[in-house]
Amino acid sequence: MRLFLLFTALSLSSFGWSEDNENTLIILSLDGFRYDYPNQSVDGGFSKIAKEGLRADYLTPVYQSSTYPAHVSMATGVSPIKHGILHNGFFDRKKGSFSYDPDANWIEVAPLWILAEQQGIKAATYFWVGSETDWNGTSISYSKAPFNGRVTEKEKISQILSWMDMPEGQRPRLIMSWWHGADSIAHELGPNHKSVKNQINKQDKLLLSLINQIEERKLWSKTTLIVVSDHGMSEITNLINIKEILKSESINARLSLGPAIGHIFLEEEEEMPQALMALRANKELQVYSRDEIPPEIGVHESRTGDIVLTTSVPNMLVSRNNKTPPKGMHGYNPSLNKEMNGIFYAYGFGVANKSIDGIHQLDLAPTAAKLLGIKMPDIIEGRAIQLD
Amino acid sequence: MRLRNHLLFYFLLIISKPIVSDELVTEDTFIDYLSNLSSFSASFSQKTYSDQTERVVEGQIRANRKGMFKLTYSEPINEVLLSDGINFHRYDPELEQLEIRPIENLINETPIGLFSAQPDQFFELYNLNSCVSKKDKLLCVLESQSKESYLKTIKLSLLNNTITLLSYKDSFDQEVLLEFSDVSSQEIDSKEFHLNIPEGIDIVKH
Repeated sequence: MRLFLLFTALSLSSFGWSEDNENTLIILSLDGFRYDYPNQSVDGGFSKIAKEGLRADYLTPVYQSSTYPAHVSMATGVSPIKHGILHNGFFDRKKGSFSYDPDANWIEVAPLWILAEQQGIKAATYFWVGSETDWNGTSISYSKAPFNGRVTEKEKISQILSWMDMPEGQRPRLIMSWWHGADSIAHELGPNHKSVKNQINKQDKLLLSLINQIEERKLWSKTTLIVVSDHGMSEITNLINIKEILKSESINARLSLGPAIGHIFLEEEEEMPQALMALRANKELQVYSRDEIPPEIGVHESRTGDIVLTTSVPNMLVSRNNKTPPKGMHGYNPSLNKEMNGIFYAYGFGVANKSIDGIHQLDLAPTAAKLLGIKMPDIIEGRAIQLD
Repeated sequence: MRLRNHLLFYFLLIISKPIVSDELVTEDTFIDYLSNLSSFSASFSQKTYSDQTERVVEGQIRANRKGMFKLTYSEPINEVLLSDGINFHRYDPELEQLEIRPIENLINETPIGLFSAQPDQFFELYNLNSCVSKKDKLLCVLESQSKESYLKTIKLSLLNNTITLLSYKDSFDQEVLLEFSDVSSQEIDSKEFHLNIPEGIDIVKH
């Protein structure tokens, strides 16, 4: 792995260096903010950006469209199968189980803040998956850890502004922050509940507050703000208990399930035909043996199961029954379900006033790199978006 | 920044002093002060030091030993944090939102227990590590007994038997310094620990 990383670091692609080496880029990710959510709020930050900056119709997330893989893809410009964070939790045959682990070394491709630091640009994160620890010996200049879901967006705004107020030489030029978005409440109550709309309004007001406070500092001439989300949200009504299906056939296996993609690691390889048959009996499941896995999912050497399952809305894969099942869920194939789409807005330095079609989540990292003059490794899959 | 360095130096200087014969007396003075403090109210200036920057927010605090407190933060935070002894409320008038959650381990996560918990209960969680007096000042250091606690150390400065400074490191290892003014220990009626919430506010219960 280290040899590979060294190789990719040496074969950097040739993005031009930014002309203005004083500019600052702020990237906010609003968790679970579906592409159509900003339409539900008026007179907030989104309206302002749409009027004066750039708005994409939608952002196509990676598959599986979940918080951890999506945030790491936004930071690396590669799909989950390449960066290795397949879901919020997964199993690795060599390293064991991963579950919301803060250790950045699970990530197999350098994130943006690491590339920035390696190239002499100070970076700061106020909660972004993978940014809490050093990555392969490189540390970030400023980072808030451990993650604490009780920290409010106001506190994050206050810290972001403090970072922006730092003197030249100490000031981070790349600032990334995760915001609550509307994820939790939409999981609990469903994406169309009125409380979700209230939460959208609140996030929109907070976004406007940040924009206005940067305005008061007269910093927009050298600041770019990009607002994205990790995924959207769909209503669900049906849980499929994979453990029960396998148990009914007395098949012993380790399950590593996301809501829409599941990995099954069989204890006995000989049980493969029996397991495939049992799972395929459920018509809501698409079931693949390792050599049948479609390219949009791909195969990770040590993290892909012997069997891979997928499902679509209104279903969700589970390993135990839940007395209070979620009403909203994400993770589904974005090419089949547009409700998985997120948002992309840009404002400020280097951004024209225009509306563009959809962009892909993998485009964020190269776009950010172009704005800051950071060279990216050749393996990235996204392309820089023309913001100006 | 200069103030922080000065305070840190001052704390280190006095903490590193050899134990003096009157230390027990000063510790007793501090314990007596906290034990007799049934209510506390003050204005405060809260400074958070992180990444070589200082952030300041001002506000007011009221607390009593029944587990009740009310912290009113001014701009830019502009929030009211209130405990009625059972639930913790965070009211954000700008966002028109009220969050309610059980108090749980709040006392372990913030130094508010100094003013709102029963002294016995508080000293079950924190050890009085040292207390040193200098002229009319008393400087004390409390250490958490729990390894799980976000707060490792709370440092306090009393001037003429009144708390004037409190500092601690928060969960992000940031140093937080509270400077109190208009301090009063006058009894506060329980009715004061109430929020007047306008109609139509979004209430989120956890």
